[in-house]
Amino acid sequence: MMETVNSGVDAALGRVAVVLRLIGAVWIVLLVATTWAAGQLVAPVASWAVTAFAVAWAVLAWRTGLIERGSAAGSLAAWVDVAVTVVVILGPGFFGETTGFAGGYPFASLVVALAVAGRTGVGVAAAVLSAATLLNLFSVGTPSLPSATSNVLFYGLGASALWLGVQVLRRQEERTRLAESELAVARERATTATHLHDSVLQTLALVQRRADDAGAVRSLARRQERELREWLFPPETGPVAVGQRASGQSAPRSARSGPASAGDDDRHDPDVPKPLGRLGPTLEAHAEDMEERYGVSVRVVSVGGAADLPVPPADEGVGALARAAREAMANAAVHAGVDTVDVFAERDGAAVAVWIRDRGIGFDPDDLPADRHGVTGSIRGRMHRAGGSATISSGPSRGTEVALRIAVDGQEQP
Amino acid sequence: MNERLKVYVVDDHRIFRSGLRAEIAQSLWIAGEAGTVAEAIEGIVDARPAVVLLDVHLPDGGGAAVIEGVRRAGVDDVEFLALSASDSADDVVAIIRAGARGYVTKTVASDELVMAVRRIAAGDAYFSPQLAGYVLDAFAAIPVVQVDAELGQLTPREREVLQHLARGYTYAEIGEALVIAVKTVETHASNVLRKLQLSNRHELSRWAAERNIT
Repeated sequence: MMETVNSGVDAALGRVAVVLRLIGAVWIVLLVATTWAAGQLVAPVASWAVTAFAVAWAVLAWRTGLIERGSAAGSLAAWVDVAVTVVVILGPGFFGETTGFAGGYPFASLVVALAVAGRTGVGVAAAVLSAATLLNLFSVGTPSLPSATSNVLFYGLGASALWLGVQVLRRQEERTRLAESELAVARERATTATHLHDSVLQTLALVQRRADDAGAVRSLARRQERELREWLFPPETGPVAVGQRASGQSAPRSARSGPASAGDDDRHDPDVPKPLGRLGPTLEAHAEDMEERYGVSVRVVSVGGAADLPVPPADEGVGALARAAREAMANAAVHAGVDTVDVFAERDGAAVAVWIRDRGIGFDPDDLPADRHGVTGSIRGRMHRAGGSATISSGPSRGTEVALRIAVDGQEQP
Repeated sequence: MNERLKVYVVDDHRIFRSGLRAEIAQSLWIAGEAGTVAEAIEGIVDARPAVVLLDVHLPDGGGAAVIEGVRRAGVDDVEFLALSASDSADDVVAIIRAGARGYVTKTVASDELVMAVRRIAAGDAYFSPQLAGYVLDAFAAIPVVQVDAELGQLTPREREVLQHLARGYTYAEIGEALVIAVKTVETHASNVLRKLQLSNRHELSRWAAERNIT
């Protein structure tokens, strides 16, 4: 019988019930006060006592939130409220008081019963209050037969009207909620369709038109693949909680956007401001650029939280590392004469390392031609200035590997 | 011709299957292909290929369901190489834990794919750099408080091997760099896979024990 407690209609009903209960209390005070002032009260002490009792319950129910919490706290509040109202109806007559002053107190009781105990509540309340009214009529003679009859009708019809009204509102609310969720789904679908049209379909059209240019098709496909992948698996943006990982429930995320490294070395705060680029996406972007410029495939793998390290725009710390890595990628792409270059970034305690490797022709790192400015200046020099290190191992037919390393202490406060 | 290894292709994209066929038919014998889990299990049990090229993402349970189905049918001499176009580490680690012996992305060059198939057919593991990265992260994610730390953690040597794999080294190159035999590198790689699979069961049993399910 009980409807969902967290519905907006039910919450509103609870608030309305409290307000009506308080109005009922004020009403009864005004009625008693005016009849008393007019000297029409037969038993003023008893009348005031009953009034005080009714007001006390209203204030108690309001301050403790008994009614607002509704059925969550059990239906007790409804029955107490009905009992108090019965006292308000029958009490004065018991002491010989013939003037009725219940006013709006009983009607509020119907609403309270509906809010707290649902259909059963409002039905029981209407029946009990009707019975009390009739009992008062036969025992004390008040109110008069016509007004007692109209009261009883009022309780019965009021209860039905309240119940039906709430039902209508609930159904309306349910429909609105459904419509909203359908709208959200439709919107999501439209966004997806737009994105696929803007990216994938356009690329496919380009591929068809340039089908005879293998290089162009490959580069188009690569770019589209990266873009789609970024869209489907966006790099982690939220903070990677260490506690969450310690639970062991969360499987590792994409290696390209790997979670922060576990253990006590985790001094890097993932909550650093967003505007800074991250190492993983930055390396990816450089790789993509290399592919487009030189037609080589650059595979980037990053683990141990390396991907999440912030990259300062200046040529310092991880910023220097990312630029040196880019230079090394470019060297491999231009000089090595290979199709693929492997890039691996790893955070290891207080340092982060990036390896850039190719299986190309290699060179003698100790005997560099003077024009190979990139290696001396852009890689070694840059890393040394930033306080890191660059190790280059290369040799004919062995390929080249550039290992870059820099401390990341204090990176969390750029 | 009988030098060619017998492989089976499972992928729900027909275009990809035909493309793959065109690429590797020269060096591998494609004994059959399937697009759904049920079809794949039946076909594999029937054809008994040496290696199955298995898409990570399939409707009705994914590649892992195929491995489970084939093993349940009592077929143990078929090995699996996982392929995917996506980068979801969870899915890749899951299929390795289900029993695949390697993983490559679908953009892999065909000679590398053929090499991976040969390696797996020979009983070894195949780590693409991506897979090495995922596995390093997977082990980092296994809680330090393990009942049996040996299962949940890599030895320094295994870590070193994985790092080199992620850097793009081949087994032979790793052997040279670390001054160990290629066979030893293979053993390390296989041990890493075994640990990953066991750590899964281990975590599961720990999970079960914590909730009094056992």
